[in-house]
Amino acid sequence: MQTPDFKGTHLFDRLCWAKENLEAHQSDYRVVYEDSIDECAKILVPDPNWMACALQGGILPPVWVYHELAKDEAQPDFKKHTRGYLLHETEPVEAMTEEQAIEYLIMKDVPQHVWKSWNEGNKPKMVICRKEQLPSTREWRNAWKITEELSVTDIAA
Amino acid sequence: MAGTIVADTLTHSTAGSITTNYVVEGSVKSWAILNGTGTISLDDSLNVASVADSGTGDYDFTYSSAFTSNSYCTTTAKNNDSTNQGANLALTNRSTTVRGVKSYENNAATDCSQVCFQTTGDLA
Repeated sequence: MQTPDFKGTHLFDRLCWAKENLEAHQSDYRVVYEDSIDECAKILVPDPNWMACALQGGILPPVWVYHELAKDEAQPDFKKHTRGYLLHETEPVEAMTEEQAIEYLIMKDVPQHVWKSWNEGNKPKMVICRKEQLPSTREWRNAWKITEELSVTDIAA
Repeated sequence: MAGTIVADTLTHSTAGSITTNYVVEGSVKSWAILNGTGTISLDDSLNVASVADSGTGDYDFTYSSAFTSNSYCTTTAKNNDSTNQGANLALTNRSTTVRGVKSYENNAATDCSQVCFQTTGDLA
């Protein structure tokens, strides 16, 4: 299906179009990351409707738009977004592969201090894996960590 | 976009009128249903990019289309998987994410078979 020319269309309207016209895509990819050493590992799960948008192309804004909004929100005097138009008026990104979509989602939804330095330290702070590689039970869920046996060079290889 | 109707007011033949602001500003802007058991997964949603499993019964949802501010309303619900029913709550709203959607049973955070949230407010 051809994506309509959405530049200038409110992002919410695009998402409604996608929900009506695209088939949701359940990704098997998961992103495990440690936001804080005092907390258990978090597991990022892509939304199936969002993934359909990413694979389709022409719907989602470039990821830098979200970074600009995050900068605005980080200001101490932040009350309301004044640059929301960036979401709607910036040229949407082209169709992505599933792997590119996961990279986009990491840069959008994982804290920057994690993904920008995921490979600095004795063990990685973030790992992309398949759903079936995660524990199948929730036992000791609040103590889950990325294994210390995994080295950064293992992942880079 | 094709199929657009421009109207500021909707009028019923007998029941009166409302302005279309009621629809634009009052409708749900984001919702999701997730299965919190096993390896969690999102069953269905609107305007959600991802969910982070942050621990037992603890989830962070991130939006695709951001809200205009941190002032909006999130409502959560869950399936009652045990006889001692619990409650849900959402802790922190940000314009791009709602953090700490928690499900409880027997006074303890619990992974439930169905956890839902919906959000009303103004989009950026």
